Amino acid sequence: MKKLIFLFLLFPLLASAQLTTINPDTVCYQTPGSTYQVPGTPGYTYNWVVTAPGVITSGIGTNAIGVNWSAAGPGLIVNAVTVTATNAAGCISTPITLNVFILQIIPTITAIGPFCAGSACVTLTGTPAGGVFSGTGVVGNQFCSTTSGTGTFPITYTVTSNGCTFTATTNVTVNPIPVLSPIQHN
Amino acid sequence: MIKRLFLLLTTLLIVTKGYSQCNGVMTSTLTPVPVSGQYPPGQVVTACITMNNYTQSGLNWFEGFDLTLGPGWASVTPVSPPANCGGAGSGGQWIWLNSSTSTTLPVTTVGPGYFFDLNSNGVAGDDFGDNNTASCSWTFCVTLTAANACTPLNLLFQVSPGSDGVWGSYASSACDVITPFTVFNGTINVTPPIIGPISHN
Repeated sequence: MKKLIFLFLLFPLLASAQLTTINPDTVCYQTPGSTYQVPGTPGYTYNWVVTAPGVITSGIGTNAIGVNWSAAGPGLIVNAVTVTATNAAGCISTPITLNVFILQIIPTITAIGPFCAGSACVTLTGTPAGGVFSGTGVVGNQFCSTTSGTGTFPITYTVTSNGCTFTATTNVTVNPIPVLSPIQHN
Repeated sequence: MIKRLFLLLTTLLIVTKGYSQCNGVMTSTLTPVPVSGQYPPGQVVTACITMNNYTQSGLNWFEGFDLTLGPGWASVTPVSPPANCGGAGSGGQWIWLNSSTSTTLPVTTVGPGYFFDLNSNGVAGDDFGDNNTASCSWTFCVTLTAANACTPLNLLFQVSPGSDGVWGSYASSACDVITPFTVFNGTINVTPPIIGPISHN
């Protein structure tokens, strides 16, 4: 009896568990391939319309298509993806539309250096806030020449948003300390 | 007293229907049965119609069944004809005709339907009907196909029994009044497709 009650309560939750996409849908800038789909029904044919410069690359007539957004500039595309279904009787469904937001973030990283070997650690600065620094000599959000040693090192600032990753890079140079020979008396 | 009167009237009504001149008691079956008076687009329906107790008048013999179809039916196909009233040895045959024209006056064209061809020449309107000498039961079946439509078209299906004095060659006006039997009067169940939300992978 307990099992029955449990299943009775659980079933509506399972039935409503359906993959959906928030409108507008976010697409990373210059993404070559995105897949859009609706639940398929046997006997239906699907008509997709994608706003240019988006291009349908696969799946025409089916319930799932591939779209190439790489030519789209950043910003919102209203009614970017529209789909209707036609059944065997030729009846056409109400269209379903999806707006698409092409997300582009251009991170910046403040140049630092050059440093002399053994210099104190310097705090790195990047925009927008919330990114992650990486590279030789990077410790947390600082660059430490004592860790990097001498040379020129690329430092990368990575920002992640809505599943999209954007980076900025700068080079940091650490010069060696001049080494003098002992004083000689002639 | 009231109860007796009610029973009497009910019986009279049944008798009137069963033994009206040039008509009979018709029954039918539909497979599959309609749902809420509707069939979906493209549905194939098998209909079987039986007529009993046909009463001849003025020696009008039974000529055939004329089918009336609403615009929602895309097609009708014959499945099985009625049996000869007098048996196979009585002569003549029941044939399916998309159109049959009488030779008696006024000239009348009916069809599609099953009609009796007494001289077996493939024409039903140029001869007499099936002689109801033995209180026959005529049963035939057809298949009907609902149209693939997006509007609730009417699926009327009527069967009109006619005598040879109307649709054959017999000169008699005793059976000129034909009463159609409505087998079904519904509509196509229009169900536009419904699609779920778009998901992006």
